[in-house]
Amino acid sequence: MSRERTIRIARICVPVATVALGIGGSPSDAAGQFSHPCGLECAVVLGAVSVTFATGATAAIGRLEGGYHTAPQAATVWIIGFTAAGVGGTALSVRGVRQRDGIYGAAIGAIGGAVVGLAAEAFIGHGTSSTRWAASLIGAAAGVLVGGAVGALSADPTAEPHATPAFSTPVLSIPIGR
Amino acid sequence: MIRSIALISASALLGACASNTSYESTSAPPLPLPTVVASVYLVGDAGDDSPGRDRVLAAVRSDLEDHRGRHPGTPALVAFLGDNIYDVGARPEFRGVDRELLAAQVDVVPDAPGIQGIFLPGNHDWGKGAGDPDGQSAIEVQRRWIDEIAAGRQLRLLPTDSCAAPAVVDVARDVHLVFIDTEWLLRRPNDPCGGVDRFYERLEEALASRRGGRLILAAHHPMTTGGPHGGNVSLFENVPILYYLAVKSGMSVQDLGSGRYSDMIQRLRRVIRESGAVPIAIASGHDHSLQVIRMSDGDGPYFQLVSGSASKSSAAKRIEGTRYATSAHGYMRLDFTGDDVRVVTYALADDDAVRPVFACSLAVEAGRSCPEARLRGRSP
Repeated sequence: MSRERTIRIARICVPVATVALGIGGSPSDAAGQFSHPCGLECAVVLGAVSVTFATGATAAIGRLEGGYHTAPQAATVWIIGFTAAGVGGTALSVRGVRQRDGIYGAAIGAIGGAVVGLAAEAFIGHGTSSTRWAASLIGAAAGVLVGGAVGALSADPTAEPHATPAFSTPVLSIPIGR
Repeated sequence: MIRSIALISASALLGACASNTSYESTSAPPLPLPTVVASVYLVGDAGDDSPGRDRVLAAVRSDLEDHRGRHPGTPALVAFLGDNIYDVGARPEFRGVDRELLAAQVDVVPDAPGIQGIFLPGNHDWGKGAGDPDGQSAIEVQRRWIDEIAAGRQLRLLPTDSCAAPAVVDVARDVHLVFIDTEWLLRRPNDPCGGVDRFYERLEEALASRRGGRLILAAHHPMTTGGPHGGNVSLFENVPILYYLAVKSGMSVQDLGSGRYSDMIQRLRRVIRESGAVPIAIASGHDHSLQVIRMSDGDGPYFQLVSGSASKSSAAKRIEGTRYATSAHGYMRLDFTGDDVRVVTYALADDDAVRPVFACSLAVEAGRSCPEARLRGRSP
């Protein structure tokens, strides 16, 4: 096996293994960051959803402006988007079911939004590779918002098994509400 | 719609799995042309202090000396195609370092009659970004330094004013170069020059004024490229994934896929078409590779020459129309004869020698041809 091929496989395997470990080997302390019934799986999905939202938002503003002139301009927008999505998803932890449904709703929304974005681009876009990529990213970000809102608002909070903390690490515990 | 999804999925998969195409270099140096009327050297993105740059600039200098010996009295022009000072252009507070980067390039051009050097600004010469108030002043500082270092030699930065009016240089009786500052177009500064519409009017006038001659349009930004700025990145060769997505979706104004860049390409195509002049090629840098690409657009320029690897190097993939591409450091030379124009691509080899690796005729209208070089590992 050539060195190049080994490196390429490693580049695929390492992220996949990391995600798999995150889901399968969830340490209980880390799981405590997310309220029951939204465990570490939720954290992983929220991370992916936040990245998707931040990237889509960065693409949207970049396209509106004709393109970013410097990397810090794009990085600033991306970090704000990522933080907003992450904080939004975490804040839902006052209601575990709502958090779970909101986060998974956002994930489903991202997939649906990407498809809708592509469809919209096919009808009204320029039909270039770049506009297709941008449309799918922007659609995914919009889907995160819509899917997250629908998921969170349609959740049945009465199904809540018990009060949940926003954060519950061994060193930090902030109980919020019931 | 399904086709769009399939296309984007396929491009992602292909991008992930594709490896860089590599061409076989020519085995023999191109035969000398007996009747050269002018030569134009294309040296792009030479503003980084790298060992590769030193070897490339030394090779250009040596080539120019040979040119004077082979074709005495024949004019030659060295076009420095932008990004002359990395990373943020000329900074008076770092005069020692930045001026030295420029001096290494200026010194390539000898003090000899008929030999001149033209510097064109690139995006890195324009300071830190669109909001950088020092962008224009960085250009002016670079212009002043070039004049100082040149000390009487025929070297200058074009365009000559802050309005970025296209500049025409007549190299020989029927050989003309039109220099345009495409970074100015991408930034669209609010100035009293009439804005971008006036710029395109001036460009059309400049091209039309040399209709019938042999034209080369020199611009830092290419109209097509197989390099990263053209969105040609592979997922597993260009991690992180966010960079991949940013390039693919045209987030940076420096990438061909961005709204402003693609708009610039469309307008340049239209202006060229409406001017009635057909450039033989657009000579550019920006991507750090050497590429000879036959444009597919019938009414645009026939060839895109990317010569942007004088000091930096990045991958170049085979795209539609590619005749030759390499990520190696190097430069290009255009030799104009009575009825032909030949491009010779010089690249830095593993043994640190700069050698010709590809040559072909760009005068396809005159019945010449520029066949694609043989791909490495493919049977003839």
